[in-house]
Amino acid sequence: MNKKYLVFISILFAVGVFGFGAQAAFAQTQTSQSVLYVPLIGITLVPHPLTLPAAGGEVTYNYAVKNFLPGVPLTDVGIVDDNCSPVTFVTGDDNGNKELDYSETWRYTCSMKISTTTESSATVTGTANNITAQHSAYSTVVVGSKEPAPLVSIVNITKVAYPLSLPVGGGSITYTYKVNNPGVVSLSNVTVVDNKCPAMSGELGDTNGNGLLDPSEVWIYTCTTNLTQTTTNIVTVTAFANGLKASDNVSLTVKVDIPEASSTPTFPDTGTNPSPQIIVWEILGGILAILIVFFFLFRKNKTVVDQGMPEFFKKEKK
Amino acid sequence: MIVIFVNKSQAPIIVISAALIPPVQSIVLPPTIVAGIPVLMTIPKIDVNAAIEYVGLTSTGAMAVPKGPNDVGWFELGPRPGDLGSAVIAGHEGWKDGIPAVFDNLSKLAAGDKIYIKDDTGTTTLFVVRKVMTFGENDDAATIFDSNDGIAHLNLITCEGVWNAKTQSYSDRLVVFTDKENE
Repeated sequence: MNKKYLVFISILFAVGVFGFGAQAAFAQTQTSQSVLYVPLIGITLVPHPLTLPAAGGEVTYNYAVKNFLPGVPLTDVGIVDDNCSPVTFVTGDDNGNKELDYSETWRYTCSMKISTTTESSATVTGTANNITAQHSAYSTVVVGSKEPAPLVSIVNITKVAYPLSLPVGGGSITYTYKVNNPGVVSLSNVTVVDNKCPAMSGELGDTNGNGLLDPSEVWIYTCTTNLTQTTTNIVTVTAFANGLKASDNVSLTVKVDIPEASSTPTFPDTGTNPSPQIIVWEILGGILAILIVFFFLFRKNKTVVDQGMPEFFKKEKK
Repeated sequence: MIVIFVNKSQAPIIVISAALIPPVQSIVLPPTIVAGIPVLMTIPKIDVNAAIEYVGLTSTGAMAVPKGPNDVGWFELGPRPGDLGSAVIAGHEGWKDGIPAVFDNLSKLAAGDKIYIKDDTGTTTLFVVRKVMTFGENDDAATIFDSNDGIAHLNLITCEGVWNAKTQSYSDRLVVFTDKENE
């Protein structure tokens, strides 16, 4: 009998725990599905070789594409190079689902012949949450010199909800940028400027402390600003090597949902109490009543004190 | 560089870098913004000559009111008097201790009466009363604040009716509807 009872209790407990767990999991799923994020994509473009003899020759452009937002895979990923075509997918879709996942790096290539120093740019696009993200990379192949041109890349890794809800009057947002050097020469005078966020932090990541962005290093910058409305910022990195300048930029639109004032106000309250004098009289009446009470109390106390006085005081008083 | 974020459920957000924007030759203001900022209101019939304050919304979504009994308050989140749409000005009716207020006699206005608004550029705009109506304090005020008939309106509001000590408000609102007089 007791055993059966214990089994029954255990089943109830198990069902209860399972039910709670399932409910919690559902709530978590709902929460994660209800928050959309602005997708983030980045591309690096590295030509090979970086220099060619004066006669020119064939160059192969190698592209690496990454998704910087965990849990938000990108679809419809494509690259357009303004100088080289066709751009061919090589490898990187590890799970074969045609979505660029956070853990994956998709690699592309394109080859062509050049005879003069050539600058080129490649733009990658990818879609998530019905928003298309985009990033461009720039490179230069030097013809007739052995000094390669510098390369620099900046990506935005700020996780931003879409649309971003801010309180009335705006709110704070911290952008985070990752800068790296996909080239072969160390970069000097690295500067990162955000056109909508002036308070850019210093770099974090100069591991050997030489002040140069070495090819093995990744420098992190952050910038905090106040947003009051939908804002598109463009952050640009510039760096130098071998007397040449490298540059890259990335743009992000943060859509801000500001609680709107009601489109139609309600009527103003243009009235004041028409007879405040009544209140004044009520106050004066109250004060008068208190004074009267105090008057009688004082008289009563005075009588009691007089009665308790020694005779010579009473005489003296007289 | 052109950056396009396409949201399939809404209009795409397009960003064009400054390098691709052609130089601006001239700036053409939208046709609805022509009037200056109102500074003075005159209503000869009821002897009103009042400075104009700028008011917005209260925390409850009501149009705010001028601070004292003598000034009127222009709803600065709406059109300026003289711009297309409905500009709105509110004033007090009655003040504590029997002090007279600017719109004590607003109910005496009738169709055809004239109201003058002077703006910060020195321009005076004439409005003519079209009708006077009474609303409940909780009625929909859309007809006072919104219009899209291509005419510049100026609507004046004040309190009337019965004082409710509990809500500290009058029961009704008197609204004077006016239209800009075309020159």
